[in-house]
Amino acid sequence: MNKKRGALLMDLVVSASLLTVVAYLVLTLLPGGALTLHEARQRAHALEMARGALEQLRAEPLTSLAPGTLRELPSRSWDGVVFHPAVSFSTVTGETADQIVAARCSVTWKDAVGEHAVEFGSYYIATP
Amino acid sequence: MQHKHYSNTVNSRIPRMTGRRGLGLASVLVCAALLFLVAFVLLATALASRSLVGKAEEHTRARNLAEAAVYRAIVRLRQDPLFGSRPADMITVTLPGDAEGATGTLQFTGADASTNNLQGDVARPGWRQRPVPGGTALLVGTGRCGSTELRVPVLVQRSAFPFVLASEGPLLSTGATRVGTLATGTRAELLPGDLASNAAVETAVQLGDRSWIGGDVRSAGGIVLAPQAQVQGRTFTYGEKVKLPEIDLDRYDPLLQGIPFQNLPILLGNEVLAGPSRCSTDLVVQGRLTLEGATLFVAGNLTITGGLRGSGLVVVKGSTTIGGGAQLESDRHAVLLSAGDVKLQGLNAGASSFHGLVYTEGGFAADHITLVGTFVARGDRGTVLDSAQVLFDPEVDWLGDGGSVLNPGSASNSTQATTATTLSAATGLFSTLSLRGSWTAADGPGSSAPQPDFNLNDFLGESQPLQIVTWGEER
Repeated sequence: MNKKRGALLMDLVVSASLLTVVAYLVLTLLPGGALTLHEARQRAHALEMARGALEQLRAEPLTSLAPGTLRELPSRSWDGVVFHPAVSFSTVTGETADQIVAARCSVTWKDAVGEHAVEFGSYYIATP
Repeated sequence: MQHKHYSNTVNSRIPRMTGRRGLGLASVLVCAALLFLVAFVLLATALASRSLVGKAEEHTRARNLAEAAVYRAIVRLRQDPLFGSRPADMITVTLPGDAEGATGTLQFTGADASTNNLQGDVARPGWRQRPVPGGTALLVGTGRCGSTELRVPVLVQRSAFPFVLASEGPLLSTGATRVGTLATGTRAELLPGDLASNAAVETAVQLGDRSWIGGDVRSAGGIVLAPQAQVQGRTFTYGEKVKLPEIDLDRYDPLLQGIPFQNLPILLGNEVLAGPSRCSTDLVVQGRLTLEGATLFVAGNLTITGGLRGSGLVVVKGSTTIGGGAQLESDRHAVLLSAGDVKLQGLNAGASSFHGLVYTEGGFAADHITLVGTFVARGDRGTVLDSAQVLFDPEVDWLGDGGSVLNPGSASNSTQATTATTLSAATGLFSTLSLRGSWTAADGPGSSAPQPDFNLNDFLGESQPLQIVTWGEER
């Protein structure tokens, strides 16, 4: 009887330990994976927003991209998260603003984890 | 026996108990493995997504950096067409938000060297042995971000003046005036050709009943179209003024430039000129003036009653009147620069023609004549066309394609054009090239003295920046 109890006890301990380890791993990996996945998807979305915003500016004449100004673009909600894009313009060192202008597009968003931001830069020149 | 029986009983139970224990453990292991597998797959997916996004981000940043380097190079080339001819010429840019070490570079030496052939006449081998035609530059921007390296090769060329006829003042068209571009080959119809007026009045452009415009009409003021007038392209009213080229005529004065010249009297009959000539006051030619690669500078007014023929450069500090009912036979290419009004009179558009460039700082009037080339009137008095055909010659475009300078009347023109076309077809890169023609004094007979080069594009300044021909992206 003692041996039987001992064996059952050992089974219990081994199974519990195994399950605990697995549960710990799973509980660590699952949220971590989920967070990483969400972060990647949100960053990809912000990246695409910034790229699109900078690309759209190419259609505008250089005179409309006045250095020192900040242009707020319409916010967009995606997957329950609101993204706020904005573009600011500045001069390029050593060049005149009627020839070339630098643009900085930042997209910010906030989720349960905290605040995030993606920033991209690009140059624009006067075209014929 | 009893012991044996007990032993048998225990032995018979133990396997059953071991089986249960094994089953329980196996179940736990399977559950654990499944859970672990699910978690692992999720994590692997997340990591792969993050890696993918990271790569895409690096790619975008590298491309932005390479493009930024190219844009800066284009700006530098606009300011200094010789940029890139010095070994130290290079560009390095960084952009906000990029990781440390992410840079965009453009250099004219090394494996990813750009090639400035804007001043060249013939093609040169460039990046990865690609031919860079004369009059163009192949700019190769390299962007590096993280492990991503990207190259953006961009072919640029000097922009052409985009209008067949541009006027600072109002533009009035009467009679059967046609504006377009000569078609190539056997095609009979005219191709689009654009008009522009910078006059900020309601009647900036007035087109009469029989006017036909093959392209667009741009105006800083209004456009008045007669009911039967036809504009094949679009009309742009109250738009921005078009920047016109500005030419300093004194730079063509052989006296000021210290070039030996032939001093002309104030009255001539039929005359053939070669080499630099100058008239210090008004010049009247009672008959035909033939230019054989000549440069004629007139300090006063110029009047030619019997037409202008041949090729060369005519610079007039006063007003210019050519024709007076005589047949104009400028069948080759001439450049006429005049500080005062220019008046070209022909018999009819089928019989009289002027082939070349007219630039005036006064008004421009043409009647019963075919004008082939480019026509710029900087004066406020405007432009009047009466039963005139104003056409651009695409053959001149193709000459510019090779970056070559058109020598009016030179036999090498057709060869250059063929070479340029062949080059375009062979590379497949430059099929959209279209440079407005450029003129220089011809190397005709008798032109032993040095002739000043003339290229309208040299006077376009920032209003005509470098034009992007092809834009690529490669690893």
